[in-house]
Amino acid sequence: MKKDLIVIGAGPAGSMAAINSKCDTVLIDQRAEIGVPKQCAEGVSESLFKKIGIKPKKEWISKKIKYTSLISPSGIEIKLDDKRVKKAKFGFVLNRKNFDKGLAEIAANNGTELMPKTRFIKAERTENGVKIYAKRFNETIEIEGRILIACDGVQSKVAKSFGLNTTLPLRYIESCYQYEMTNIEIEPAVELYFGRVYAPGGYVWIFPKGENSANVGIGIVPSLTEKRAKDYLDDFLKRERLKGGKIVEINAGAVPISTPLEKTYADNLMICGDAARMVNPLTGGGIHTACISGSIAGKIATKAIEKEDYSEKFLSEYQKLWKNEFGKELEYYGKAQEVLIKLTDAELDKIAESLQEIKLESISTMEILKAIVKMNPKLLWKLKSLIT
Amino acid sequence: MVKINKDICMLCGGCASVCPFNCITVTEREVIIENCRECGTCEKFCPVGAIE
Ligand SMILES: Cc1cc2nc3c(=O)[nH]c(=O)nc-3n(C[C@H](O)[C@H](O)[C@H](O)COP(=O)(O)OP(=O)(O)OC[C@H]3O[C@@H](n4cnc5c(N)ncnc54)[C@H](O)[C@@H]3O)c2cc1C
Ligand code: SF4
Ligand code: SF4
Repeated sequence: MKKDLIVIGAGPAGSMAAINSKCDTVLIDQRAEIGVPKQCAEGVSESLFKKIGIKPKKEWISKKIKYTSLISPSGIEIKLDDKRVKKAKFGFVLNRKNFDKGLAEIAANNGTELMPKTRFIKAERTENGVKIYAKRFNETIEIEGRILIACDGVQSKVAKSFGLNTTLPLRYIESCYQYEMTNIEIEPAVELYFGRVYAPGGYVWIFPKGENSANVGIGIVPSLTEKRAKDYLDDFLKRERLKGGKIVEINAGAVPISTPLEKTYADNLMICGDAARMVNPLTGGGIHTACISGSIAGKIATKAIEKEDYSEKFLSEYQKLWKNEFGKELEYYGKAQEVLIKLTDAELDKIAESLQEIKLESISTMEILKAIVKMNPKLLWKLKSLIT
Repeated sequence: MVKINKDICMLCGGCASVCPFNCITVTEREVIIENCRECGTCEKFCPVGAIE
């Protein structure tokens, strides 16, 4: 098969790349069913759909979120609701299975050739492009193209096959585990439990999905503990809050918290989303960045193909543009994560106490961090790198 | 060579992203390990303890 553009991985990054390409594009994914299994807590902020210029379908959204609750190791709860936050924004808990499949469908309807159950094996460069080998059912197929966009998620095998080192050290990955549960009481809020008692290097989350159901999950930094993510979550489930809860689905996954690859392009190649480690290292959120980087890569690929220039120099524009969008932000959150990981549970409790009376202008993570720094001068030496 | 307990494994793909020697591929139905150097990194990552 011959195409202009080959996109690998039909997650949010890959589908957005395909949607934004105006050339002959093929999008392959190893999954037989796009979006399944879900490996996500599904939380996004309200700005996502405006940013990517796509109107959300009803079935993409499970629940509208009105506020965030932060819970400290000793159980102090800080409700960041509209009493505390002047310009409160809302968020959504998505239905990722429908969202991912929906985006792939839009790509297919815009002319992209969509190939599920097609697994990337390896790539090689040709005279003026790339050739990939992929396994589709029991057949090995070859696809030739001008440009390859790697959106194959956390495994990042495509970049590795080009000789790029995308290995994540155990300190810079979250080991994640999650139960979708029903028969529990929920508020229209995301709840985040911080501290080593709950989750060393990460947090436990409760993200509501329906009337009485939620994603209850955990991310831990595996270099900080001998125990498994699953062990911590099973402990958490013993609390009163979740006693009557019934598990309806089990998920596991990995989140890179390393800040992005230094170089996300090469001749004939761009790398997006999780594959390029574009995740907010503090929150573990990567849907926004996957969608935005994918969109940019799709547009740049189109331009490159029009100009017949697939050189690294031409494609470097991709990195410039995504850095403009969220580069600084991810760097800042990377620093914040370095700080958070060093705080003791006692310090976290102290911070929670100081935040009980907090009043904020808006609910950005940045604002909360600044408030923390302001109200905890004694912790300044630990927090000073966050004051910008 | 490390062994994957298929009954426990969730096919989450995380072990493949931490292996320093790029030995692991997680497909939609199995974990393939080639040329393992027994460094133990993947075992430490696994959220469910499927790697022995
Ligand atoms: C437990 C957990 C909770 C999370 N919660 C949130 C959250 O609440 N909010 C948020 O914003 N982010 C969250 N994230 C992060 C978010 O899920 C990712 O950042 C996002 O999915 C990245 O999108 P992507 O398109 O880059 O990769 P993915 O969504 O991972 O898509 C990659 C695609 O590539 C395919 N693929 C992989 N290898 C191959 C191959 N060899 N050949 C063909 N196809 C291949 C896969 O099948 C997959 O469909 C969470 C992650 C985890 C693990
Ligand atoms: S990390 Fe564990 S659960 Fe995930 S794919 Fe590897 S062995 Fe399976
Ligand atoms: S033990 Fe080390 S070398 Fe072997 S598969 Fe695991 S991470 Fe790779």
